[in-house]
Amino acid sequence: MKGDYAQAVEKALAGTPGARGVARAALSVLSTRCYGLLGYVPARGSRLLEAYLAWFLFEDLKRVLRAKSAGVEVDSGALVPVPLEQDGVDLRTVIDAPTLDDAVAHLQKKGIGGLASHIGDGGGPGGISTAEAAIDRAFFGRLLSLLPGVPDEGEVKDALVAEADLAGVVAMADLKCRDLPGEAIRSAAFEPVSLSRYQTSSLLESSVDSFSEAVSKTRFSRLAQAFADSLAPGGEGNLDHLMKAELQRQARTATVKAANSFAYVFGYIRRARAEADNIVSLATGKELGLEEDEISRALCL
Amino acid sequence: MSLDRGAASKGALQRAREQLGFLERGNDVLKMKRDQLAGDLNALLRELESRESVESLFEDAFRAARASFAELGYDRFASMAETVTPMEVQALPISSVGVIIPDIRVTVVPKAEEVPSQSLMKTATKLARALKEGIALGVLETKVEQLARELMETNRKVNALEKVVIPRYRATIRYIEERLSEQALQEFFVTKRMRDITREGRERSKT
Repeated sequence: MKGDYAQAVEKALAGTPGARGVARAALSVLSTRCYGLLGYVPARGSRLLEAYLAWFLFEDLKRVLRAKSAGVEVDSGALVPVPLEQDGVDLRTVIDAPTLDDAVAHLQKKGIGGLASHIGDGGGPGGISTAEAAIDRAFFGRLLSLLPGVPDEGEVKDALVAEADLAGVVAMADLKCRDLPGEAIRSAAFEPVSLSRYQTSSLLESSVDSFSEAVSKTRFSRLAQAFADSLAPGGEGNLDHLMKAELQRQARTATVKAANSFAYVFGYIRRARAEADNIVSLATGKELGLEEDEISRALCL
Repeated sequence: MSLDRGAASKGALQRAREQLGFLERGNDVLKMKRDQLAGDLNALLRELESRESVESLFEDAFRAARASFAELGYDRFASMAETVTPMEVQALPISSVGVIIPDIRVTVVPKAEEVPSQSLMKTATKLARALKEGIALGVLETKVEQLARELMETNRKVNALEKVVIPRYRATIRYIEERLSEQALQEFFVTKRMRDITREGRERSKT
């Protein structure tokens, strides 16, 4: 491998051989690259960027909560290295929490609300999947609240709202596949801000079969067929790939259209994330001896 | 059960006849068991045809797992897989015509509804189904194997009784009967000769 991956991969492979080591190196490089941006952004935008980078922390939190929920030990080596303590959330405290409820209580105190109603003793239907949707909801909610006053506010808002809303729609579709009641979906999934109340209600009230039709009446109409393919029983597509591909497309557009704007930073981070994901897929696919077309299907190009 | 050809007595004949009767009854019971086992085995053999469909379920799950691994990487795959509830099974030894067969029942089916990734949820669902069907097939194959082994053993016993033990007892009984008949004839001649000698002596003393 060339570039800044070379050293990280070499170091990672010494500790963890194979594709797992390459994947950890890729995530480590991604984290370093993204957090390194904080030194270059104007002060007015640094809080928003920090909140955007909390994605890494939230991914780690999800992993910790899954392990806590299953009652297994957290594999610290598999976590994405996060150099900052963000929003007062101390990942170590969550990892060391003796029970899932203690971990959830810590997060509740730090503003990631609503988790207790999804997992732990008082958990409702959906369990960890709704809790993860609620974590995303908290993430995007906080992100959008920090938009006012940032440089190039309009372009940044367009980029982040598009991402947040897509995540919300995908979360709704995903939770619908799990046969969860509408109320549980409403309380867990991020409510798209760019959609009208009627459009959101249509999405929430539609069945799995008619979800793509409801999507076709929103700003995500071009994704209606992809949703239909992903939600069809035995369908080839899947929502995770749909989301990644669309984010990659948005990022590509943002990095071309807003090359001199603050919005470029967010496009760059998404593309860096996609690049790291592709490296993980390539390394894992090669190690498993997958055919070229099988690996290609896992990539977001 | 020993066969003593030397002791050709009425007592030995009686004992041999009793033992032969016991062996013949035992042979009939074993034949009934053999028929029952053959019937059971025959019925199960038809079910064994499900192996092909179970194998295709595993192949499908394996393909899906490889695709999920490639999409998520090992670490994310492992982390998300933790949300699948573990499968629970109960192993019970069941006796069928005296054959102990291990029966494994899936008491708790793994639930994949909480797996955060949709592709992994599909993979986990496929794998859970394949595992459940695979366990059922494994139990079926073990049952067939045990029944086939027992059938072979029973068949060997029936053959040994029919072709070796019972014919040998019959031969022994025939031998004892012949010996007893020879003895009876010999005694008859001895008695007759004695009577003739006695009669000749008595006539000689008269003259």
